[in-house]
Amino acid sequence: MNNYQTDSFESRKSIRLLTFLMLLFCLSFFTLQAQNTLSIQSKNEPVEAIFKRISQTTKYKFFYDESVVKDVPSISLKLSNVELPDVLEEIAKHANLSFDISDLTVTVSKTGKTVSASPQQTSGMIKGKVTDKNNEPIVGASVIQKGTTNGVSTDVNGEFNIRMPKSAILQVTYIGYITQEIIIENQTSLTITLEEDTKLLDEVVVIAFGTMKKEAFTGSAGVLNTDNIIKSQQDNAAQILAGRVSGVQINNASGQFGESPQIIIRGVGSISSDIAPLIVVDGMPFDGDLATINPADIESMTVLKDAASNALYGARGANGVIMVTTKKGKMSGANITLDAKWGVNQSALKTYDYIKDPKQYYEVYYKALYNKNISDGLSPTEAHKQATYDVSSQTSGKGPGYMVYTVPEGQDFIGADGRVNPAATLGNKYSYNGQDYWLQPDDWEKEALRNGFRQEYLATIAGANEMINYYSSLGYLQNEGITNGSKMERITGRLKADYQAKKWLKVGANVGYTKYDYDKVSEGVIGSTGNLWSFIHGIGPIYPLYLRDGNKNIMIDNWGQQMYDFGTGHGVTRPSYAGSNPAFFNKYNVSNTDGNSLTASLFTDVRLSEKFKLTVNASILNDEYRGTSVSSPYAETYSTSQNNGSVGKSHSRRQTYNTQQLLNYTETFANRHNLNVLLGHEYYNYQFKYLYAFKTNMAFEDNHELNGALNNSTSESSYVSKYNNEGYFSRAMYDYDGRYHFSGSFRRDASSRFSNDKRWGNFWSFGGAWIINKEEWYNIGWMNEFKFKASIGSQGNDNIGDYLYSDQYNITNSGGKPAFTFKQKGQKDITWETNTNINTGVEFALFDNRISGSVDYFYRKTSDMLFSVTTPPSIGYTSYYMNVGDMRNSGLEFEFNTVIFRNKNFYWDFNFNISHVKNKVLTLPEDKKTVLIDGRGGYTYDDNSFVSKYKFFIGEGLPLYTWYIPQYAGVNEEGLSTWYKNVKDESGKITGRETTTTYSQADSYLCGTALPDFFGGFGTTLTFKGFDLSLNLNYQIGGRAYDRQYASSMAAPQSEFGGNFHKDVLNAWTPENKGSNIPRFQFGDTYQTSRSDRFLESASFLNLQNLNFGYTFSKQLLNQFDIDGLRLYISCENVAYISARRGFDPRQSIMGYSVAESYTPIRTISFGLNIRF
Amino acid sequence: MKKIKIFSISTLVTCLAMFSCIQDTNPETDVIIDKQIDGNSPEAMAALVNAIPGMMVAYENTDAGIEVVSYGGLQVMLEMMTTDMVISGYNGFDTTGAFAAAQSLNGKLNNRGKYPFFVYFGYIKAVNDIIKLIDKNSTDPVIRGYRGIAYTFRALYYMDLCAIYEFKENDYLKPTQNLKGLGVPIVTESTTENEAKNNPRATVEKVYELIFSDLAIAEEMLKDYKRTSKDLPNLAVVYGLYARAYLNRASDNVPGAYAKAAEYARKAINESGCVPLSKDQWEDPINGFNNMNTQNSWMLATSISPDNRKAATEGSFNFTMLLSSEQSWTVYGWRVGRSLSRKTYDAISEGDFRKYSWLDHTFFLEEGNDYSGYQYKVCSSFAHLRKQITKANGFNAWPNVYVSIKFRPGSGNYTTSSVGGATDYPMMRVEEMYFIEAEATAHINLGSAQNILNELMSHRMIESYTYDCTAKTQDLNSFMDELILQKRIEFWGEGRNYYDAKRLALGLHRGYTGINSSSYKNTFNINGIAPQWTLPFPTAEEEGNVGIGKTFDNPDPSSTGRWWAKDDDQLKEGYGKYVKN
Repeated sequence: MNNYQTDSFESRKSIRLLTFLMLLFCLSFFTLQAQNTLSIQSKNEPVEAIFKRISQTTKYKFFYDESVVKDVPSISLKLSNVELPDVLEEIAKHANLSFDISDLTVTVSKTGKTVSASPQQTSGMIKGKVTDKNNEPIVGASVIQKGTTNGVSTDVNGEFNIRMPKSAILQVTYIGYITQEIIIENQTSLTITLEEDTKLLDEVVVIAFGTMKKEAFTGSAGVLNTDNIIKSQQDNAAQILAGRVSGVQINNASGQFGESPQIIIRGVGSISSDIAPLIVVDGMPFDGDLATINPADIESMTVLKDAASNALYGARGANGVIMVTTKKGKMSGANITLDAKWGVNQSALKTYDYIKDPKQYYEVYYKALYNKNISDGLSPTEAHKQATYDVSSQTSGKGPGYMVYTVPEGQDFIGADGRVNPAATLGNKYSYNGQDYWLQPDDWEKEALRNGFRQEYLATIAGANEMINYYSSLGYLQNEGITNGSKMERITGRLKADYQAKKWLKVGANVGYTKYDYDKVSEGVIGSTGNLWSFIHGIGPIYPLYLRDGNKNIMIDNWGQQMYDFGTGHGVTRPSYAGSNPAFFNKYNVSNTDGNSLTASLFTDVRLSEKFKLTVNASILNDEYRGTSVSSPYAETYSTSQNNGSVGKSHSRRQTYNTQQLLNYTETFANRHNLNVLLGHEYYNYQFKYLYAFKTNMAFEDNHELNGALNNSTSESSYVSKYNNEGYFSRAMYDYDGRYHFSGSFRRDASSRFSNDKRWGNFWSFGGAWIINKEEWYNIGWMNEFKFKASIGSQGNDNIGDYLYSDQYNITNSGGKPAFTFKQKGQKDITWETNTNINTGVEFALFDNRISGSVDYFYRKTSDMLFSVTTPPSIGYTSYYMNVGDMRNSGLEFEFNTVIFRNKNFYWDFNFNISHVKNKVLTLPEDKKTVLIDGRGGYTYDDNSFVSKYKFFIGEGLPLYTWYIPQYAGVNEEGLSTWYKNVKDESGKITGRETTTTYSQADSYLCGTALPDFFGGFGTTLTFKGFDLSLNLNYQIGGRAYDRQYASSMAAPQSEFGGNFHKDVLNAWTPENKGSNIPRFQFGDTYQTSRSDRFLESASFLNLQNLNFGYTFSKQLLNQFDIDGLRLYISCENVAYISARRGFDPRQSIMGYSVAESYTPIRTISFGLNIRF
Repeated sequence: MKKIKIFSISTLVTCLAMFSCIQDTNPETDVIIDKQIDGNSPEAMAALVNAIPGMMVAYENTDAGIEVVSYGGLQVMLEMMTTDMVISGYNGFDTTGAFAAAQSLNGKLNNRGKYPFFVYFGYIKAVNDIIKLIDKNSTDPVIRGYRGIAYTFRALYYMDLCAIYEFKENDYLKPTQNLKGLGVPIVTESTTENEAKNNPRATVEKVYELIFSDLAIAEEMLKDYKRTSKDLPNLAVVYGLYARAYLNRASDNVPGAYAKAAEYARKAINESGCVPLSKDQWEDPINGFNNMNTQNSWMLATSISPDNRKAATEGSFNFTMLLSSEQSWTVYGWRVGRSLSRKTYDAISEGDFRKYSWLDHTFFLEEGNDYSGYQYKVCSSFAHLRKQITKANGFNAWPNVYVSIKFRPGSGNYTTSSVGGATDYPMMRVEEMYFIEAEATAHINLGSAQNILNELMSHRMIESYTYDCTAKTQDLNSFMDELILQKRIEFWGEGRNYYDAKRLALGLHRGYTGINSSSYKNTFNINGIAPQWTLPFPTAEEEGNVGIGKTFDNPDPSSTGRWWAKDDDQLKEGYGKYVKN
């Protein structure tokens, strides 16, 4: 194959990209130089000619009356790399002229004739020093003349020199401090002390259709800002929320690139409808993939959790809203950053404590056979003889099928002591059909997994002045997965700008473009076998991955490729997964998605008067991808397929558009009554289009197009799905003297998911906040902020599936004629699930804002929950959906931030959050209550996708995902598993319980819920001199999850078997080890490890998500190279986790699944550098 | 001035944007919703009628867990409970295992014992909807044809359903309640959902009242109707259903019914103009039992066109998949080994060409041997069959497996599922009418009956062989034994045998030394009525219809102990010890 070629091509491409980025950066830099400074040389030149030359090299235009320059003598100048005001000042010295710079126009007038002395006339050099309140110099503070690009940064001593006209305003800004403005009169030397502002970034909170002061906010929201985002290495920004915002749970079923996490806000809000929150990017609902937005472009992510915050999202707000805000330019001149990281992706898999030693594997297997023979009544000698034969024979039909040891002729493989014969040597040569083969074990994990290379580059240019604000970025990410056939590539570009076109008009645009390319490998559901992950977990430690000849060399086939062992076809049979070798298929088959995503939005702000502002927004999303799945003809020569290769092609296009018209009214009465009213209208339209075709019989392997395959199939398909939503809404916010805040909102919303007359619904909220510390009587000195808030409201969830209001028919082919075949009964009254939310809490700041935090209580009730109600099937349909049933989630959230230490050289902060959510099903439809357990009516829920491997009871008064499975009662005196069963009296009433060894007689019992009691996260940041270190962890406490992989590796073989054993089987019950709670390990036992609460583990975990360590070079050093900042860092993502059992990963699902068959989590360790200019 | 400008621009922009308003959406995929179906449109009506044959090749109800299943597949499932259908291959791939082994026929999860109920009542809803929608006074021949089609199928469905669910007394299972004579709940076009929630089982008599009244309307409507394809009924089919119905009633001792059955069977033969299959047609390796148009024996069929991918390839109950030993695309098909019971195979006369539908044990060669036996007509090759049907693939009784090659893959294509799966399936053949006529006549005049059977069987003999049953069928009982044996051979795999077995209490006899079954769980030796022949109602009906509840449900026949053999080893010992008797 041409893998090597491809690889080198890839790396060449990366180098090219890097070079391009560097070039881009350089270009921008020089352009900027040209704009800001100029050089001029002239000898006895008329000023008019000089003005003309300046106009040609800069963008400034000169405006003057002929009479002004008429009498001015010619002058000589020799200036290089100076700024325009300096040039003008120089001219002014020679000629009797004065200049007034406004925008890009220089107005020239005669000195003395101007109304008053122009400020420029007396501009001068100002020296200064910027310090904090401890008198420590602040390095790198931005000092600018307000409203211009004229600015400098403070040096290592905190000092600066700037030339400024008199009466101008000097503005000093530094991140984390309150910006100061000083009007320059006659000062020439200044000492400026900046006040710390620990809450600067939190001050404004992003809300529905706008922003507001955090103080006035009556709802509950969690904010994740850019500092946290850029330190992570997640490809999908949603991942970063894990543990950072209280009330938010993130689960990852798979570590594969391109798989999105499940996000749950304040508990599972529905049983049968979607529970994903609404994502809003820069004010526009976003149905694309968050992974198409470069996390580095994100300024903040705000999670709106309560009704007061998200009622304005009406029918789509019930599961919470995540507001993503992209970056914009800052008022400190152009800012250029370059960021590059190179790193490695490695498997973060913690495998179970399996038996890895082939000898031990055979011994354990032997013991199982031996135990069986003894229990069949054989004498110990016979039992041993038979067992050592069965385990070592490749055809006994009882052993592992592969014998990878060579035993001296005539000797037993396993001795009577149960140990492998010391004379046995690893590796076994045998002959089949005239070919010699050599069997030796391979480490599948080691052979099939690899370390992948990761590289990411980012360049941004941003800046702002009072007219224009712009941000642009270009990013490139290449990620190699931890196995063959797993890769991603992403190029992102963004340009965001706004422009104050007129005093009353501001316009802006935000365009993001992403090109992405994913190569995926197959994964499986629980218990599946055709994927690499199940092999790594499930295969015994004796099986080879490759096929070897008699000389121990890996065999090479006719195509020159290495041959793999498929567990069959060469005289021996691997009992588990025979005919399969996913390492081989991952290498040769293709599952690729490449696509591009474009988002573009425009806004117009029209200031109608001082009090009225009209905003019109419009946005589009167009996300398209081409999917290619290829079963290679070469690979198929090793499978049962007779297709000679197949190509499947899919194309999908997701298009949405959104328009909003917002009218804002702001008024202040009597200086104390502040009122803001919003009226708005929004329309949202979503379309998804899909096309698929499939052909077989490929002409040759590298042609992955339909035209390169010969045989048509009849699997072409295409469809479109559509959705649209419209709402009229209003919000009023009022405060009295900044002390008492009230807000109320209302939205009337229509969703196309419902029938015409059920389409419109009303959603509302009320909220209030009391800033207690602003009261005159407030005198708690150490508590500088104290706020109480409460809100109530309702939202809807319309994400219930399409056309449930209508009878549906399938269009089918009946002998070549169209037929409408009844599919599903509809119910025209279908409507949204309604959430009623109550939220109340306090926010506080203590000790000069050194400690801040909040406590929130919420009560979230879902009513009109959608359920499928069953009908007697004799009516011809079996069920339909109805809005019946209630559920609630209630809980507490606590957030805590503190700056433990802060001075010039040392900074240390710590943050912590914890949430408790309690879920309870309140009412169920009558006909759903088919089972009565412990006095609670409900129904058993089997997850079909897991083929009855999990079973829950959904009952009134119980939390969701309450396990309903047999209870393990330990090992009996014969070493058999026992379970509980009910004892009933004659009337069928349960009077007690007893134990049984017959699994089918065991009764199911309620065994606790999979939902955790507590979850949250904590983190810390330390900086010392130039060094910085930050850590982020998240955790979950409580809940029970089913450890199926452990259960299956604890089972004894029932017939020939090739699976793995967990080391715990070594401690199984034996007549000599009667104290064990692990049943006997005996060949042929069927039910000893059947599903029961024996395998329910605590779902608690502690996860070190991210570690970031960096060094920032001193300004002094960098100034020589015209560099503003340089930071080198090491970042590590997905570092480590602890769970109840090694190998068990409860982070995968809220429902208590642990899927060993999915792509293992990836750990990424990168080295990076960040340069700012 | 400026204010005016601002306001006018803003107003304009706002108005433009306001035009986007909530829009209705309709599905744009393989789904159509009720408001899109106009009851007055001829196309819509035609599409609803087409849905009847459409559903019969691929009914699916994911909500209830019913995989794609065809009418033919359903009949195979039922026939799995009879003597002659034996699993000789790998039991683990047998999707009809619940029926073959009578295990958990009434379980809740993924249980195929519930399929017939859901499928038939799904069909009934489709015909009821047409009956409800259609103008019953219309004189338009097309509309009259639609009515006739709907009523014919409804009669067929209720006749099948009633047979499957009618409780018949047996020696193995006693219900807690007297269920004698109870059939199924009747749901017609006027039954509401609420009524269905309390809809007791109608007596068999009541069900037949409906069947006969439906057939009467159908007869009237189809009098002058010319069908376009054999997947829709015509007048001959109505007569055929009358014949079936009267024979069923006759077996329940309704006076005069035998005469009616014989009369209608003859009417059906005459009206249809059909003739029994010839040897060439029977053995046709390309079109044998998969093409409704290549012979003139079939009266009614289901038909899958190759473009109907769902019916042709999906699901576990595609007919070719279930019954072709030659197809190679899924192990859930050929590896199961649908075989004729060894005893029945031995009972087939050497001169009867139907014997060539099952591979003789000599066909499977031990190493180094040549084959000089009958040159079976196959669409694949002998080598292909010998490669598939091996001991290693789970055919424990090999070479004594007697797997079937009766039903050929579509167009003789045994490698591509979409082509090979596109087959027609016979629902009614004229041969059945001869059998009905002979059986009914036998109760009136044995001599005439013998002649009818002899005539039919003359079509089944190869050259130089003749058939005459007269000598060995001197009384009604021996005649019936002979007739039913021939009928079992004739219709193997076509489903009719299940209905006869239950109607005539023929017993289930798969327990004997030498049986070619691969699993002891498929061996039964039951006289009279086998309990599994009477399926219980699915849990959803039991719980959703208080008129039935647990009280009036059929007892669960799931067996764990009624097997004849105690384990596979016992069977393995017997494969070599079979004694012909």
